Amino acid sequence: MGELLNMFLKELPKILTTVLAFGIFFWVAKKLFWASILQVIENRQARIQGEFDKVTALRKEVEDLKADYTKRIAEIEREAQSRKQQEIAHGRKVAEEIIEQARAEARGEIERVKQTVAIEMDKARAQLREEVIRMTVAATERIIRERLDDAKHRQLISQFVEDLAAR
Amino acid sequence: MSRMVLAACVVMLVFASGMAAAGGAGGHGEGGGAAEPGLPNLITVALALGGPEFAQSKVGHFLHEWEYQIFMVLITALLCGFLVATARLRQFVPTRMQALLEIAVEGFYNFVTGLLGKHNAKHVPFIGCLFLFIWFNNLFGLVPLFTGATSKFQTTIALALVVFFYIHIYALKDAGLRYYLWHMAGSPDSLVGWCLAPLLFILEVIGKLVQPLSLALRLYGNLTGEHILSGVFLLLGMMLAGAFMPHPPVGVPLHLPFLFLGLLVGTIQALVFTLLSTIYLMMLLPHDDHHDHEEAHAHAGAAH
Repeated sequence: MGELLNMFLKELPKILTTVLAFGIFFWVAKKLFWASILQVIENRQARIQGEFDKVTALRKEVEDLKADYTKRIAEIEREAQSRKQQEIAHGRKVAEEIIEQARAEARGEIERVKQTVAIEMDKARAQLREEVIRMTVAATERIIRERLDDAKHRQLISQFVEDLAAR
Repeated sequence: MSRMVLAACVVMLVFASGMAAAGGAGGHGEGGGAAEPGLPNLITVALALGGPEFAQSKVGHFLHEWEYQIFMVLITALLCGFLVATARLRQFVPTRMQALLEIAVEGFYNFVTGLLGKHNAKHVPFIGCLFLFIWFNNLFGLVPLFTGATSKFQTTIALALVVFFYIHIYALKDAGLRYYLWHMAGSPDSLVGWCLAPLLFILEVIGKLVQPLSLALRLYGNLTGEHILSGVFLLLGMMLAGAFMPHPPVGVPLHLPFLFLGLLVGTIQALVFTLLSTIYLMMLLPHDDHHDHEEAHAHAGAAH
């Protein structure tokens, strides 16, 4: 044990030199290397983390906006569909009214035309009667010019035409 | 380009083999004891070239005695210089070099905080420095005419003691004396547990004292073994070359595969030392439930 202790004491300066060398190295490395390099890494990590957080927040914001936008688009589409349906119904109603009005106008026009036709027919009939009278008078005149006077002549023919009209 | 690098490596190795021839056995004995084969370095070569007078002089004696510590200080200075040189790599938009550095740092940070939790991120610099210190020392042991201090027990035990004091001081600071002693007594929570507590306390203390020893011995054993293996094959290469000519200027680099093995062993051992130190720290630091308990107490106190 004593020999071991003596050996240890003999080698103590070398051991202490090693301890001192390591201590100096540790001090220098800690001050000039580890502290600064770990700080740089930490700062970069913090900044990258900050950027990631920002990106995550922005992404969330964009997703919220997108969801809101989608919701609003859906609402707009729903409203547009509803308005379309309303407009279609309104259009149909207007079309039916127009058709009804057109039909009424058509019916009125037909009535008016019928009246016109009746008037024209009456006119034509009167004209035709006059023409028949004139032609008959002319024909009869030729046949019996010599035997009848004009007044008798006219009375006979008028009688004839009235009989004809009554038939 | 890679061919040129490979050629340069081979030339350096051959040169190192030649230096081994100049340096005699290529290694040196501990305290003038039996010769320990190993790769030659600048100091052993200088001692060999200076002759017995130089070796016996005060400077020679100092160089011989403090050989590994001199290289350790040199490597530490180089490491500090390297870390200071990276100070310009702190832009917000990283360059390719900075990105590479940050990937390594972040990987290490995640590794440590994965074990200790985010609230213990303050230990990242210590564990990172431990890894870099051991790794660089391990790798410099493979550079021709250099050597790493981690193949010496004085260095590994010093590092293990640093770890030991660091974790125990932080355990006391973070958890408090009551939790520390309770944890050292095996965290008893029943009558049987409390009855066994004194025994477990002793066992725990022994276990805690053995931890740095196991750390130191593991690193020392692996690195020394690897260096001895390389040295033995270097000597075999010299002997093989000597079989063909009386005084060969260079040897056959038979130790070349072991240098690649050394690269692997050096990295793995640095990782193992760091990982175990982190685990020892994790075991002693208060756990999350203890944290929650303390926080609940604090909140309750604040409420009152």
